[in-house]
Amino acid sequence: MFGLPSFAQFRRRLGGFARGSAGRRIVGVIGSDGAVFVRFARGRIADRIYVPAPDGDGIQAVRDFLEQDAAAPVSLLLDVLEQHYREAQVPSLNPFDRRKVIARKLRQTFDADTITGYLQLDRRALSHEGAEGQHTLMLVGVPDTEDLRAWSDAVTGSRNPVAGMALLPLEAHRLLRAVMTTPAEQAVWEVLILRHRASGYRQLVFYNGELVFTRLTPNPEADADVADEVDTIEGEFRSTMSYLRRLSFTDADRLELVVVVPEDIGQQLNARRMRIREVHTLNPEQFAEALGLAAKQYSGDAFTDSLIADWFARQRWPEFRLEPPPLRRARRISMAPKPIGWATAALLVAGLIYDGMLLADLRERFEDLAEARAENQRRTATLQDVKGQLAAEGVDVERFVTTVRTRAALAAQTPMYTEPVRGLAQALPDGMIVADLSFQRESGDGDPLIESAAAELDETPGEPPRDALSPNGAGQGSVTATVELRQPPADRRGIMRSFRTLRQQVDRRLPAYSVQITEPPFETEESGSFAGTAGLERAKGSGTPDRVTATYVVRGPDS
Amino acid sequence: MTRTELGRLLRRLTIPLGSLVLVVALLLTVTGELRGRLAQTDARIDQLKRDTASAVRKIRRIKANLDFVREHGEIYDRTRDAGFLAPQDRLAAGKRLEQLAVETDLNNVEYTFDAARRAALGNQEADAAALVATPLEIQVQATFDSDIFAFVDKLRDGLPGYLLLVDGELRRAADADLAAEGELTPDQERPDVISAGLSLAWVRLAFPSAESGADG
Repeated sequence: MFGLPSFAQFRRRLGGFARGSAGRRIVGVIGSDGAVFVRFARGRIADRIYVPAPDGDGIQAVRDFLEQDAAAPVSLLLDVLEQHYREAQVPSLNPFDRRKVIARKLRQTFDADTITGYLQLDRRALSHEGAEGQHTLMLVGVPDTEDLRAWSDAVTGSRNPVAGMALLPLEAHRLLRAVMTTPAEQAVWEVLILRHRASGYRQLVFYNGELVFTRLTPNPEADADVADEVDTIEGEFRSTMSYLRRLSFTDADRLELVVVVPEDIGQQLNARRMRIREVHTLNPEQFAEALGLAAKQYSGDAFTDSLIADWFARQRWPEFRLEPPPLRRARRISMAPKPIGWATAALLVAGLIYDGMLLADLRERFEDLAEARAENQRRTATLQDVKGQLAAEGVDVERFVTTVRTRAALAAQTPMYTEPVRGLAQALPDGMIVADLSFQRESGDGDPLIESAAAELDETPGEPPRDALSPNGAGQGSVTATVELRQPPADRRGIMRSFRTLRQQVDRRLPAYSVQITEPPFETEESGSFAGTAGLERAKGSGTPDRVTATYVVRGPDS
Repeated sequence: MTRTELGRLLRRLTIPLGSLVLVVALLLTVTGELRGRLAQTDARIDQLKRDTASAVRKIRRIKANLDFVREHGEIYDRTRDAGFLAPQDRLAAGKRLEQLAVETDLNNVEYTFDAARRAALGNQEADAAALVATPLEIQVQATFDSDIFAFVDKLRDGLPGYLLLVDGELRRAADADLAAEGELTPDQERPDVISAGLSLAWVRLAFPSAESGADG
């Protein structure tokens, strides 16, 4: 039953943490004996007036007063005699039905010309103790009197923003907690008595922190003395006690009374026997101090209207609003700029944060830009420097590189015959001569020399090659020589030995070349054929062949 | 809502709505300006980075060129001085060849400069540099093979340009070995002991800008 708090309860709890400064604000305490309007500036009272009646002069006085600070929001705190509170029970229903049920109850409870509202209470109804599965509501009604309309019109007709209207009894429990000595969880019955110029003695009775009922006693006549005031308070409190006894209060229950009255009344009241143990009498200055207000400005006050107005002005929002429709509309009109203001502020903050991030980014980019510019300048200077160095060489680079690379490519394709020919000549012993000599390129694909050289270069012969260039290379070639042995010996083996010795000698002199005897004087290998002549005619001869030759092929150099 | 209330609502909303519009306009302007500057700065940074990267590539290329030039300057000079880049003058070359044949005691030399061949370098385009090779066929009769070798050596040094011995053949035409019998006297008849056929390539490098008419 008492699970999740209602919105009103949540707002009430939150309101306790949401006190602010009175700032620029005007609060009007409306009572049955007139109204007190208090203007605050910078958290202190700037001006205040008491208007006894909402007649022409009174309303004009109020308008003039409001005009003093037309930008200050105006709140009204209602403390009139006629305000009705009824407890009611409603079953747990869905929100739509609940609204309808409550509206019906309000219509049944109050007259048609009554401004009505309701408040959900945390506790069970005192008159229906033990009812299970029901919610307890406080139905509130204030007659929409001519006086009230006059005060309300005075406010709505001004240029000031309207902050709404609230009922003092429903706001007062927070006042009470500020001055009670008993912890909230122990307090059961609490009574607060205030003395208002606009209304009179206001008694507020709370049970477990919730308003149970309230009474208003008009102020005594102007010629009443202190004793009369004390008698009035005592008498009214007795009446309250008798009513409380009808509401399940017993003498065993704990009850705490706080009375805020001038010092002299308080002293005499303390001397009386009130038949309760815990009575606190405070003068307005002490009460203001207990509420955390600037107390000195209330030191001479006989009434608490201004003090209560000061306290109320510091509340972020009232616990309960009860407004006639024109005042409600005026409040909504006044409040309409607020969401736009919040949206503007939120937008501004978000925009500034975003722009701040952009600015930080921009600053970082500027640093990057400076760095990139410096790097670019360094590189450009280096470029100019190397360009200067290259220009100092005084050459056409592309022509230069093409020439050198082409020259190297040609060299790589061109055989050097000098070395094998010289090696062969130096190895040739006496009695052997070269009969024929031929030399040719060893071109794998048979391309002409310059085509082969051109093919060695890539697409960009004017650029230096990635690999090191060897300009003194040589192409592959072969030298074929037919060597004749003059005056050969009769022994064929001796002939073969001479040619083999020559091959070995050439081999030794030309280690980078391969030397082969492609046509030996006699074919001694199994794969070849060996022929000769024999007989008497052959035997009549010298016995040795006339001409003995062998063909050598020298290839290289090896790459 | 009455007309008075409506007027009041409009009055109350004027300043907040005006402020909202002003704030929105201000934020849009500032944000737009900042974003524009950011984009502009980014573009400038990118451009600078591209320029720097381009400069780095150029530096690398120029340094490579510079290193190449410094490393191979001597070869280039030698090649250029040898006439590798100069137009070929066949008449002068023929005259020089004839002089050398006499100088190296060759009995008979017959030579032929054939039609030149071109091999374009690199991308093979018309304006590319090209290797130009003039085939030179030589038939020689000599008494000694060493004279032929000396002739070839001097020819390679004496002709402007780059002369390559591609292939060749030496054949003993007579069964004599004069080298074994000692020096011939000047008034002695010099027999054709060695006959040689040589194929050479007279090569030069032609740059398009250097082309000016036919070789001599």
